[in-house]
Amino acid sequence: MIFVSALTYRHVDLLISSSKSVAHSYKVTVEIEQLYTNIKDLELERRNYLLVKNKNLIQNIADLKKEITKNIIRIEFLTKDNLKQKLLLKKLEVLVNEKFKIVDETVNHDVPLTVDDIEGNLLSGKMVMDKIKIFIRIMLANEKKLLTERTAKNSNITDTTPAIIYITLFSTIAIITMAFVKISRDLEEMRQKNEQLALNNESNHLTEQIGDFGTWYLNLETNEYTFSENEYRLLGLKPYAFEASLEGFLKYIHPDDLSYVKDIILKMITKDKVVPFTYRVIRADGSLRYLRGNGKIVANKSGEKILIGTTSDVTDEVLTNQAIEERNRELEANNKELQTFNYVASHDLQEPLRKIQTFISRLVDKDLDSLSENGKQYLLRIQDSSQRMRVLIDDLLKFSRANKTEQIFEKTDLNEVLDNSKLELAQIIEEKKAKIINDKLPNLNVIPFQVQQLFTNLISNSLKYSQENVAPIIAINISKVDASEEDSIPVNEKNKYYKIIFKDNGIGFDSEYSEKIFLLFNRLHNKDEYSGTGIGLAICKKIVENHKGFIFADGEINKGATFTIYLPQD
Amino acid sequence: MEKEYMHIILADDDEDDRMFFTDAFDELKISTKVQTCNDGVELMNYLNKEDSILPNVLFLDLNMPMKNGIECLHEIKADRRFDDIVIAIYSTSSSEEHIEETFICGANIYIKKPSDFNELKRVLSYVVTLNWQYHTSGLNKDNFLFRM
Repeated sequence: MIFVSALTYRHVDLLISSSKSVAHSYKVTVEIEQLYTNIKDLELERRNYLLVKNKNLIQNIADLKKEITKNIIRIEFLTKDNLKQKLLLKKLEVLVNEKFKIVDETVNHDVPLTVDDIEGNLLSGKMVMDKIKIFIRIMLANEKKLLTERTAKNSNITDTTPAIIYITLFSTIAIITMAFVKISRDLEEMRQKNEQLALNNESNHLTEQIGDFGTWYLNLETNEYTFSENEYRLLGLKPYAFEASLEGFLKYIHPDDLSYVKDIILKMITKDKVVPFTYRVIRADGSLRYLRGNGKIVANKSGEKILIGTTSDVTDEVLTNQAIEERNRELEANNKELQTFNYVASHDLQEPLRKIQTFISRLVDKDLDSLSENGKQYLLRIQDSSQRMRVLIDDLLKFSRANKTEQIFEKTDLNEVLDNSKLELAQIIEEKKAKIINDKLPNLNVIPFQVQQLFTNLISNSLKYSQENVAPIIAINISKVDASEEDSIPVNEKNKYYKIIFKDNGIGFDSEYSEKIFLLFNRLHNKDEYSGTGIGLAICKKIVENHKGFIFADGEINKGATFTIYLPQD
Repeated sequence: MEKEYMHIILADDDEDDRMFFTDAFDELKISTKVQTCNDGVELMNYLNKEDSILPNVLFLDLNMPMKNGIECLHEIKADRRFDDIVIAIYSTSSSEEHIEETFICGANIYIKKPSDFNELKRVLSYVVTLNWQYHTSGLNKDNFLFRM
């Protein structure tokens, strides 16, 4: 647009100056012609004077001279920037002065002239006049040429003027149209963006409400706060219930947490160090809520530092955690009590029982013979019962030891462990003429004494529940398996297991009981038939669980029992 | 043995256990002089007296009031005068912790109190007739706990 205006202005300016110069050329021409006329008149008047010597003519001559001088001055002024004309004018001026001299001589000559004189005078006058005429013509010709040039130029400019104006007009219209299209397109884009923004804003509000959190900004440059709608709701207020400010927010913070929160906010602002922090607020309705704040300092486009913060309601989380902690404490206390109970059961009960047994042993040794038959029976039954109690207490002690959590895993040769178990049971193995056939076992990371206990319990179980008059045979087989191949065990990150199978040819059991068999104090047989406390297999299960493994039992009455153990390979 | 009899002390707060102990030695027919203390304080007072006859073997119960067996063990092992005393821990408990701790502290053997009088006699007879010089040189954590 500016370009178009400049172009137009320049064109109009050109037009004006060109017209001016045309007018100027006309003026010069007119002036020159007038000068020539005046000179011719002067010559005429001189001739007249020569002939008639009328005094009135002298005045006319003086007037013409004055007029001619004026003419020359005017021409001089008009042609001041035309060097050519100026030079011509100078020469013309000399001739004019010569002419004036002739005229003056004529006027001042009082003596009457002879005919010859007059003839000579007229001749000289004519000669000067001719010269003047030539100069005038040259000047006029010059000026005419100039005029032609200027007129051509002017008409040229004049011709292009409408075109220029039309071009200007059209280009202006085009530019305005383009601008209009662009503006309306921008407006459309802006409208869409605004819509998107409004949508985002709305979704932000919704997200904040659903997620129970709010956001706030602090412009660190201007110290101005902005709170989101939900930031107010977190305090139990309507959105924008008060002007966003730190003081306004702090009013709702629990008095005990106030200095802590102030401290954190100060740290956020001054040290640029922000960590999540939890504090309590008392809502407008007086209810207590737990909020968690977090923030980050960012710079906006104009380089201002802005602290963006979020506040979320974590009351449920905090309360749940508190409940869990409470439960944990209870469990820990219960566990401790249980441990104490175990210690009492296994340790303190041993002492009186040991004494009872010692006294009984002395009585049996020394005084059995002096008792009546009934008395003897009673005493022996007391001895049996106390012995049974001893076994129970010992087993309970073992069970409570298997329960202990702080156990050390060591790389252990399981063959050695099995040998120890066999050694432990050597006497009964020999008595029953039992055979134990086992695969070579691997080295494994285990709690050695517990695995020995496990093996001992399983073998002694097989020996205990052997069929009458059949030598027990216990087969121990091992294989590497993948959890995914085994139906009985869940697939988890510990995928590789050793599968150890203890299989015997004993009395077996109804597979209906394969799970119950592992429960503490659970017995499938009358204690008069088979001695047992119902603790042994519970200990086995505990030990296998301690090793992150699995144990299963399967049986068939009078055919035998199978115990399958899975232990992680690593 | 240079002396005619072995000097034996039992420190145990339990009256029945003291009785079983002395009765067992009475029946054992080994020439011993058995002395008992009712608790750790009484034991240490006796040992620390200048003119006391120091025992060849000291049987030390762990669970005693005022000064328990472990404390006595520490004090005894801290005094060079008692270097020659063989210390047998004599306790109802056979917990790993107790066995480990007393072994580290330098006791010579760990006996779990038996619940049969005849067994008690066997254990005591074994302990007092053992060649301690030989036993101590080969002592390790596994044979520290006495098993019949």
